[in-house]
Amino acid sequence: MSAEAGHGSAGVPDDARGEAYGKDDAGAAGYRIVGQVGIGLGPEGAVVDIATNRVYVACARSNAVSVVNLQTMTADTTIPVGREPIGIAIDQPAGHVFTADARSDQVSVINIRSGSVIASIPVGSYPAGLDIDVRGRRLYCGDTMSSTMSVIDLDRLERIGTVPAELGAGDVAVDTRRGRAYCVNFVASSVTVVETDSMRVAGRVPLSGWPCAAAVSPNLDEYYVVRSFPGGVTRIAAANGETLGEISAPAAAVGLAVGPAGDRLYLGNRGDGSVSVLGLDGLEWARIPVGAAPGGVTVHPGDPRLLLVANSGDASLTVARDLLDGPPASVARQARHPLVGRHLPSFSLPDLRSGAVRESREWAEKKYILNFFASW
Amino acid sequence: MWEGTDAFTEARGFCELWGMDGIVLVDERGELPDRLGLHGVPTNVFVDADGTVTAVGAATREELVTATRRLLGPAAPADLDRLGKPDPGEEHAGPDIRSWDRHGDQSGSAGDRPEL
Repeated sequence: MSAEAGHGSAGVPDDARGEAYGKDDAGAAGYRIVGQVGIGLGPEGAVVDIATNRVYVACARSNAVSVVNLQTMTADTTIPVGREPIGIAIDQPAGHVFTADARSDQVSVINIRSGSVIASIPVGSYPAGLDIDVRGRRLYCGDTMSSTMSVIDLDRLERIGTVPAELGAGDVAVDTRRGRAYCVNFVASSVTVVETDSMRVAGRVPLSGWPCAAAVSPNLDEYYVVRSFPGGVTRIAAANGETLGEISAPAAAVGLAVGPAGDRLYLGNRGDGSVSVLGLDGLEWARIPVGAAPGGVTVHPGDPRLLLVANSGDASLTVARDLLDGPPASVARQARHPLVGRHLPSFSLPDLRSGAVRESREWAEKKYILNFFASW
Repeated sequence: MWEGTDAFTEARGFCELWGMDGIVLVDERGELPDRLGLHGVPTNVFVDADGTVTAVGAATREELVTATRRLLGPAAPADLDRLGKPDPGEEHAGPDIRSWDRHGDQSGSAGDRPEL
């Protein structure tokens, strides 16, 4: 496929990302990119071992965990796990990292000290989401295709319960204040609320759209669920499941984290290659450019402004620092994409079904939409 | 397609699951998105009949409707705002992933549970 003449190697200028949102009073950007590290394919989520300051990243397309040294900003170890690890969690006291291996129907257990897998725990079908209750000594796993949530004992390293959820049970968020786990059901568009002590379903919260991740406020009695389509975050009261409000989100957000002060959310915008810093009032404080197709956003547990972003589209981990102490004095509007108003470069690509190469001139004099989807 | 192993097989399965019958092209190395300066999916690029790009992005329903209406002009359907919305009372639409349940386990149906 040849590049269109006059468009250069990339086809659009390097400033295609637009200027940063969120400038502080001095006019400086509200963030700083600390580094970007090449890791395995299809990274989806990350956890931090604060003892060694290393980041463990589940790389779904490499069937492995990449380990990144934050001192040297290099990936220095790769640990094979099961097939398609998506969810990841860490039991810091025990020194274990867990991955939900979606196509192996298991949770792998990595011993941090030895750097090897020490156990494989069978769970439900296509496990995709994990969250951990370290003090309660339990790990919760959303089993997407069996519509269940598996409960694992962190000391015995075995499944001790299976809780019925709904279609697409994936991401899980543990609310230790209320003794509950919230399981996000992507297809059923709901949250299953589970009492962690009894492993019984306490109820369900109906949602709209396609919810894909949840996070619990550290200081308010509420939790948040992000929808990839239509974009947005729902605020939900933990006491009774009532919807407190909606926060609009920019571009197919699939990753969600809450700032440790509880005053802001971080959204991984899959459709935009960015992370949004959102105030709870819905104002976007900053938009941080990261790698391609970001998914999981993790806040470093020992450094509350350091963000780790798994970029599924380009096999990288972005390390960024949020510099904003609060809402910025001014929020700059992002420039429109520079491709708008220009002629689309010609292209040719194979047809999925026939395999024949199709050229863009086939659609000359027609109006159409090129929908770029999926990153499998 | 951005990356990945066995892209054609994965994409065929995805399209079959979601009932996508339209034209689907495969870009295994992500070269076209790179050329166009795109940094994530899903992203839409709207192209007019003379090849001019009229919009990029449109990830939310509102943006999609606005960009489509702009592209089609007077030919845009009057009920474009309702596109893709379920009719009142209709259940949330989506593929039945239970058809993928390889172990034949049909547990996990919601049944009658209290709202919370």
